[in-house]
Amino acid sequence: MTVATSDRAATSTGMSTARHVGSPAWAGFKATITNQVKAFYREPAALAFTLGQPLILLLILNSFNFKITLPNGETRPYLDRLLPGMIAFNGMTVGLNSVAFALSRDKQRGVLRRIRATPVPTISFVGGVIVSRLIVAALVTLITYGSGVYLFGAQLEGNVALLLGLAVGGAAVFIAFGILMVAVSRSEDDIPPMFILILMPSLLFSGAFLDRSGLPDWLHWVTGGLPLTFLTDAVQQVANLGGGLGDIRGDLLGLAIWGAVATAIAGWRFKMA
Amino acid sequence: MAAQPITTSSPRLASPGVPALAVHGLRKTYGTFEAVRGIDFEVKQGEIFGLLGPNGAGKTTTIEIVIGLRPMTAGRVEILGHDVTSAATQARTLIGVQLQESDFFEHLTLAEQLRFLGACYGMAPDTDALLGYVDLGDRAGWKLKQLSGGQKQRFALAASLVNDPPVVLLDEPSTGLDPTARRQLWELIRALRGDGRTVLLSTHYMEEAEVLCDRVAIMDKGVIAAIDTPLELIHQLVATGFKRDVVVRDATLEDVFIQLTGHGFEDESAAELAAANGRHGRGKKGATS
Repeated sequence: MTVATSDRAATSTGMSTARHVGSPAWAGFKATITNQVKAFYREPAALAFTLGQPLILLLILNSFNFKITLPNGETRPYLDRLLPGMIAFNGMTVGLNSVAFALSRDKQRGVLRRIRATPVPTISFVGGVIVSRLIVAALVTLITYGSGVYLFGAQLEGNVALLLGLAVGGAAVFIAFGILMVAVSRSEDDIPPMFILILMPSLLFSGAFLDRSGLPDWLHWVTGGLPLTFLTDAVQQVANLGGGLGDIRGDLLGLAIWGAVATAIAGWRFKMA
Repeated sequence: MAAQPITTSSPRLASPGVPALAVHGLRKTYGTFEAVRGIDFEVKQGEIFGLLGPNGAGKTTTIEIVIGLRPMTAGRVEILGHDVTSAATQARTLIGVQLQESDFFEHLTLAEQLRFLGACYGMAPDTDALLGYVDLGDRAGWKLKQLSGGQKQRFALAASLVNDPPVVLLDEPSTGLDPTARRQLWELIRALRGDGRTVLLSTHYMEEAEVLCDRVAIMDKGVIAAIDTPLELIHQLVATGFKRDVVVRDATLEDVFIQLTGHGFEDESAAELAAANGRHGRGKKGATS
């Protein structure tokens, strides 16, 4: 039996395959957002980890039924201090995790190389990735806030919109770190150690889960410069003490500097292929 | 689908005299190593042009420079008159690519992959037509991992057309395919020429080059050793007194293979769909191989 043939295949494809819809930069940017959001909700593991992790952590940590003292001297359940910390921590994990691991895998498999061969500017693709993660960060923040307040009964003082803005802004800083990790990594295998390197000190010393007041002075000073410390402090100021933008100027400046430095190096070093 | 040759009146096409691809004095060095040593060649509009050569000959480097994945050390490369360095965006818009060491997103369906890639060119591709062309019309909602090797290669070919390109670059498109799947791919590549498109393909298979290509360039150690039609190159070799030391047979083992296993896309689709139905109890999921 010989290979089946058809008139169509033998003579021409018989088609005009595409029509213009706009500039590659804009069309590629929009398509990347849609594509990346699909990547999030179509990946059961990512979906369960990103959305389930806050709920599980809340469930576990809320079972430690003890009181803490806020900087203003007020005594409150641990949950009231934990929830802002978790909102900040989620901003970090969404930013780092979902960008660094996914982008690194796509780079290693040659997906980014294929995109690089199109006229879409790198900034459009990366911009689409960033926006998609900011959407996820906003979603995770709302879920964490909603479940903490309405399911577990936490009492937060601050403006919800400002909290959301802080969490999304903080996620943007960590997204820059995520892209930086991909930019400086030689392969997918380099990402987990880098992730741990950022995660561990942040987890232990940022104040998101553990009180920083007991740290030795030098360690308190050093870890006061961690990006998650700035973000956690800002979220706690707003959520626990009802602070406004003026009260968190220093934290915002610290985050902005980290974000600018990470963005500059990532922009310089990041290559699609 | 009725045979309707694509019109070549697209405003994106250059005037007939302009070469589809012009490479002049192209050099690429890595430190002291010269991967490409000042090569010159032109590909005419509407031809299938083969870039041949052993591993390390400089083919891949040349291809990567043509599509803008790698900067050149010296020289000039133009796609339909557009310089790939100074007019990179325009040049990339005019060329469709199938790359060897590249992949697609795991989470998107075939139709979504094509739409995404098309958007990267500022285009909305006709996904039904593209998938129909490579006989994957009934797989639009499938993921890539559900396709067989041959189907993946055909899909990659469809993906190279999302921008309706006048020039298509195929980097070893049939590598890893069995003889039947390779021949199916050849038909599809010929159809591109039928559209009036130019095809530049690299291959390790000399039979493929002989059957498909109007002209070939043979690269070795960074230079072009010969460039001509396959027939002319063979004649030139024979004229030197070369004689092949083989016994001419009426058939080869490859002929036996195709005779025993060869079948068309339709047969393949039916068989795999039946296998998928048997495996998953429904037709939506695909046969993975």
